Amino acid sequence: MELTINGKQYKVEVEPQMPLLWVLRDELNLTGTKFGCGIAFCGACTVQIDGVATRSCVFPASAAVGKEIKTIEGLSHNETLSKVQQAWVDHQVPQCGYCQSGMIMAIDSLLQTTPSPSAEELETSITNICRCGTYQRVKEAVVSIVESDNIKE
Amino acid sequence: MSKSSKRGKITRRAFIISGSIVGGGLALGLGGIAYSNHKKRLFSGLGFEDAQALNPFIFITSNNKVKLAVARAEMGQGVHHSMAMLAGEELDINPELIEVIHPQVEGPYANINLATEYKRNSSSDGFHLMQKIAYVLPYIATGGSTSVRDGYDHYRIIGAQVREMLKAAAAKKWNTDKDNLLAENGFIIHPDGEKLTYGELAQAASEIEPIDKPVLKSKDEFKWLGKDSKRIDLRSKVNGQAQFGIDVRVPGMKFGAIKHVPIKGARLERIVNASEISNMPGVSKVIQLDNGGVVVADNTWRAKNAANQLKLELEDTEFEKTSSNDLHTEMTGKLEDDMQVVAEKKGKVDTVFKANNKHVEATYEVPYLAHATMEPMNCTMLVEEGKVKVWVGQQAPFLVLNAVSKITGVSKKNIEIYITYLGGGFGRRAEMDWIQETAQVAKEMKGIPVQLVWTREEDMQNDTYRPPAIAKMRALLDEDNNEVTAWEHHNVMQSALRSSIRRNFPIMTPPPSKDVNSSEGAINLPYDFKSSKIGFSLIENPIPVGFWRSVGHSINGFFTESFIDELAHSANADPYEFRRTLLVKSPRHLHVLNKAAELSNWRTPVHEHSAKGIALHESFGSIVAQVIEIGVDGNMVLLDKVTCVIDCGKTVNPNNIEAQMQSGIVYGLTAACLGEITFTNGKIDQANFPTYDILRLKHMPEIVTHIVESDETPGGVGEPGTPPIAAALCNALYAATGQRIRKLPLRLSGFSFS
Ligand code: FES
Ligand code: FES
Repeated sequence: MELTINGKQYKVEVEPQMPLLWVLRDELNLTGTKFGCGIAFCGACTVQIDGVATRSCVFPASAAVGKEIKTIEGLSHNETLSKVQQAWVDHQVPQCGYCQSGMIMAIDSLLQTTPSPSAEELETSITNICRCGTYQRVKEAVVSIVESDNIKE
Repeated sequence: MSKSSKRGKITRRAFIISGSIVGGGLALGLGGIAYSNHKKRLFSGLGFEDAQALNPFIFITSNNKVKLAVARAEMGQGVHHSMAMLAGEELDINPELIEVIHPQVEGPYANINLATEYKRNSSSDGFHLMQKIAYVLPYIATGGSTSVRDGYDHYRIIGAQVREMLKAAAAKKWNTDKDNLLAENGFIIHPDGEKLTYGELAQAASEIEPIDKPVLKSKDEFKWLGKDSKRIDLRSKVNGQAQFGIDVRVPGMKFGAIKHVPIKGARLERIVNASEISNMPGVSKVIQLDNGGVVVADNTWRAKNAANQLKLELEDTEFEKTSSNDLHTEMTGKLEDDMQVVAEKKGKVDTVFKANNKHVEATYEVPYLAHATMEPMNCTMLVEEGKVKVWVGQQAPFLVLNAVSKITGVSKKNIEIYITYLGGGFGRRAEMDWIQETAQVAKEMKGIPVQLVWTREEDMQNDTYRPPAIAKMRALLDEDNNEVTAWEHHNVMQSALRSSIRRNFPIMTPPPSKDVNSSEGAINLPYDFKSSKIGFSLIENPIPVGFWRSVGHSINGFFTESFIDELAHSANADPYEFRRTLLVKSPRHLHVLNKAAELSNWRTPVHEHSAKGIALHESFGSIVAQVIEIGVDGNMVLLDKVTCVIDCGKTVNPNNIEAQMQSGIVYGLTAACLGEITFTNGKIDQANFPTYDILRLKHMPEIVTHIVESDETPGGVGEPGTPPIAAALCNALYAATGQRIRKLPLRLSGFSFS
C-alpha cells in the first residue's frame, strides 16, 4: 500500500489491518510516534490524518491510504520548530518527553480547528496521559500561544 | 604518547593506566582523587571519539564543542542538564551549549552518594573503602534523588580543573602567568584582548597536570547556577528526535514480544502451541523462558499478536490460592503483634501509654502501586561471538553489565551498554528483569539484534510494585493538648529493599533490621515527641515489590502527616498551629511550613464546600510543605490549588525544581485518588490504563511552587514532592466533610475527581 507521510510517499507491504503506529515505527523507522497502551487510551501514538488527531495504535494503516498523514517528525520545517513545539521549549514542558509527541500532535490539531480554546475545551479534548505530570506547563504553553496569536491579530 | 595518535583509535576500555595515558595521566575522575597507581581501566571514551579527553568527564572538540559524560539516567528529572550546569559554571561555558552523553559503565562515573552514606571526599587522602568499592563495581545508578547531591561539588571541581588546565595551556603559549588569564564563555582571554577557544587549547591542555583542589567560583560569581536554565534535552523531545530505548533501530533487527506466566511465583513448564505459533506471519522464533514465552518476529505488532496466542502450561502455581483479601487478613493479623524491627525508640512509650488510656489510635492502609512509566519496558541487544551490545533505558547499568555477562557468558569488558533516554523511570527502571529476558532471547538469536518490548498489559502485570502497607498509629497528648507525650507507629508491609536486592544482587540482601526503606519517613520526624516507638514487621509473598518514587516516604508520609492532623483535631487545634508547636527544635522545617501557610493564605477562610489541608515531610535531604485547596460537591472532589514550598538547600536550576515539584505532586495525587493494584487467585487484576487510570489535564490543580533561599547542602528534588500530597489531600477532605480517610485510594471511598 502507498502512504503519504509528512508530504512524502512511502510504499509498504503489510497486512491491511496493521495499525499505522507499527508501520511508522517498525517498517519506516519513524520512531517519533510512541507506543503507550495500544488501545487508544493514552494518546502517546497520536498523529494527524488530514489534520485530525488520530490514535494510530488502533488505526489500520490501510484506512490511511489516500490521506495526508502527519507525524511529529513532519511538524517542524527544516530546523525551525513549529509554534507549538517552540512554546513547549519556551515553557520547558517535557520531562521524560515520552508522551510529548502525542501531546503536541493533539494540541496542534486542536489549535487548527479551535485557535482560541476555552479552558474547558482544552481539558475535554486533550485526554493524553502524561505520567510525568507536565499538565500545568501544557496549559501554560497553550495559553501563551493563544495570547500571542490574539496579539498578532 | 601523543594525543593525536591515540585519538581516533579509541577502542573499548582502551584508556588503561600504564605509565602515561591519553590525557597525560590525568584521567582521574572522582574530583582529583589519585587513582593512577592502579593498573586498571578507567574509561574508554566510547561515544566521545571526535573530542579531546580532558578528564573522564569533559571532552572538547577542535571546533569548541564541550561534551560532558554524565552516567545518570535522564528519565525526566533533568539530570543531564543539571550536571551540565554544574560543570559549565566552573568551566565558564553556557550549559545550554554543552552536549551530554551517557558514558560506558566505568569506575570514574560511580554514584558515590548512593553507594555510601559518606559524602564524596574530594581530597586524595581519606578515600573511603566504600568509595573504592563503588568505584570498582562500578556503582553506577540513578535513584534516591542522589545525582545532584553526589555531583554538586564533584561536577564543579571537574569543570574548574579543566578551566585551570586550559588557562595553563594558554599561559604556556603566550608565555605568561595563568593567573593573568580569564576563562569566559568558551574562550581563554589574554589581558591584551587576545583570545583562544577552549577547542583550540584542548589538546595542549590535556598535557597539563590537573590541580587537586581548584578554586571554585563564589556564589556571587555564578552566571548560571541557581538561575533558570533551559534544558538541553528538550528540543529533541519536542521534534521526535530524542531516542528512547524503544526507538533504537539497528540494521537487521527483529522485534520480540513476551507473554509472562500470569500467576505470581509460577514457572513456565511448556509452551503448548509453539510450533503453531512459529508458523504465523513474520514470526522467526518462539522461545521458552522460565517466566514466559517469547515470540521473535519482523515487526512488534506481529510479535505481540503471536505472543498473545501462546498457550502456557505452568508449574509451581501454589499462589493461585491467594487473593488480595487473604493478604489483607494476614497483614491485619500482624498489626497487633510486637514490631519485628524497632527502628526508633525514645523514652518509655509503653509505660506512658499504660498510665493513660485516652490515647488516639488509628489504622491506615495503602495498596500495591504500579509505576506505569509511559514507555513500557524494553531492551535491544545484539549477542555475537565474544561480544555484546546493549541499548536500554535503565537506572542501574552496573547491574545490567553483571547480568548480561552472566547470561551470555561474555566477559564484562566486551560488553557495551548504551543508555538511552528513559520514558519515565520512577524506580521501575532500576530493575533488570526485562533485560535478563532480552539477554536470553538475544543469545538464542545470536548475530541478530533483537528488541524486546512489553505490551502495556505485560508492563502493568509484571511490575515491581510499590509495596502495600498497613499501619497502626497511637499517640497521647498531655493534659493541655500542647505536647505529644507518646507516639507509636507500627507498619506491616512488604520490603521493597529486600525484594529488590534479592532479585538484583542476592548476596547483598540485608536482614530486616537493615531495611532502611520501610521506616524512612516514619523515623527522624521533625516533631518534638516526648517518647516514641516506631518500627515495622515484614511479610513475604511472591509478588515482586521495589522502589517507587520516594519509596518508604510515599507510605510513611501519608501515615504520619494524616495522623498528626488527627491529633491536631483531637486537641481542638488548627492543624497548622498544632504542627508549629511541635516544631520547636526544627527551625528549617518550621520556616518551610510557615511559608506554605503564608503563601496559601492558610488563615483566610475558604468558600463553603471548600477546604484546605496541610502536610510537611522531609525526604532525600529536602523539606517540603504543601497546602491543597479543594472543593467538595457530594462525592465529587475538585482539586483546586496546591501551594508547595521546598527547601532543598543550594539550588541548581529553579525552573527544573518547580517542574519536579509539579511532577511529584501529580504522581502522588494519582496514587492518592486512583491508584491500586490488586490480585485474585495469584493473578494481577489490572491490565491497562482503563483499570489503572492516571489523572489527566482536566483534573489538574493549579500548582504554585516556592523555593526557599538556602545555603544548605543540596537535597534531592525528583522525589520529595510526592510524599506529603496524599496526606494534605485527606486532611483537606476531613476539613471539608468531617470524614477521615485512612485507606487509599480515595476512589474506594466513593469519591470521584475533577
Ligand atoms: S498507544 Fe495509542 S492511545 Fe495509547
Ligand atoms: S513527559 Fe514523561 S510522560 Fe509526559
